[in-house]
Amino acid sequence: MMMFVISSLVSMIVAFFLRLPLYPKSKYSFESTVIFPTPILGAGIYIIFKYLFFNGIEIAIFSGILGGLFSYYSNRIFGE
Amino acid sequence: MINEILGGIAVLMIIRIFLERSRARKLVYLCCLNFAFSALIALYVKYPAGGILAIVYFIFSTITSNAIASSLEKIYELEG
Amino acid sequence: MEILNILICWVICWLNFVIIDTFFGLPEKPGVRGAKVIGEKIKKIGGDLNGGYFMGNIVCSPDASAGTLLASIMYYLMGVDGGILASFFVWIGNRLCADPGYAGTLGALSITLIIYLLSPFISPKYFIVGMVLAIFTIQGFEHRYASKLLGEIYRRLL
Repeated sequence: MMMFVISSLVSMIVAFFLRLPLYPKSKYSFESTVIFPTPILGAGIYIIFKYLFFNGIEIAIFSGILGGLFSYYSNRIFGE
Repeated sequence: MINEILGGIAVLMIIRIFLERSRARKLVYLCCLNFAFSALIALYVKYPAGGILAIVYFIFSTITSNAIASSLEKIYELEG
Repeated sequence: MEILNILICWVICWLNFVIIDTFFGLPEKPGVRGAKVIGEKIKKIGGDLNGGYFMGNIVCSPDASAGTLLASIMYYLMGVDGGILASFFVWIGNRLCADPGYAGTLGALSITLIIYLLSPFISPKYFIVGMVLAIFTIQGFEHRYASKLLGEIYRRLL
């Protein structure tokens, strides 16, 4: 349970330093923000890595960085 | 008990898809069939890979329904 | 005893996905392309337009209904990890269908919390059959009365 919190927090910090907005403006906006998709992406990538490789704090930090980057580039990956 | 309920719903949905005349409302029954079928996949394959299989089946069947419905909308627009 | 568990899970799953989908504006307008034609077809047979948009949005993109089903499947197989993994995959599926994805991920997370709180009393596999019965009452039983019920809930709640 501790590792979920670490990976979510690391991904939120990465998204904050990449200057994403803090919260979504409306419930139809496609913009990725700090509180909505970013912590879910960090925790999800951490679970995939945990079942594929091993369980540890470095995996949590690495997947958090990867989740923040995925959230930052998500509009460019999926299109509008 | 559980498998019998899910299988009964799946068979009933197949019969209703055959009896329905409207092409757009067949998709609604097909959505219910997809729900029952992905639940049956996860209950028969009792491993985490079975869950991933159910998720992939469900999401790609939804993308198929989305493509069919949007092309139906375009056809109705062209016919006026 | 088994039938009682299934009935309780049916009511919980129905309330979970209808409340979350209504709050995130599924009956308000056809969010994804293709939900409009299903809403109009349901209105033509004597149903409600807002309820028709609700059902079309469920067909055309994985919303809170899909989140509820997939999170209960993954909780049954993997525990709490599975619920968060299911919400991650539902977000990816939502973006592939050109939908923002607020309803699906929040539905998956909320049903994970509910199953975790109820896990000493009810086994997670009853939630799977409860969710399939809930979607059967909306999509498969009778479109006219279901769309009228959903439209009435939308007008009362918002």
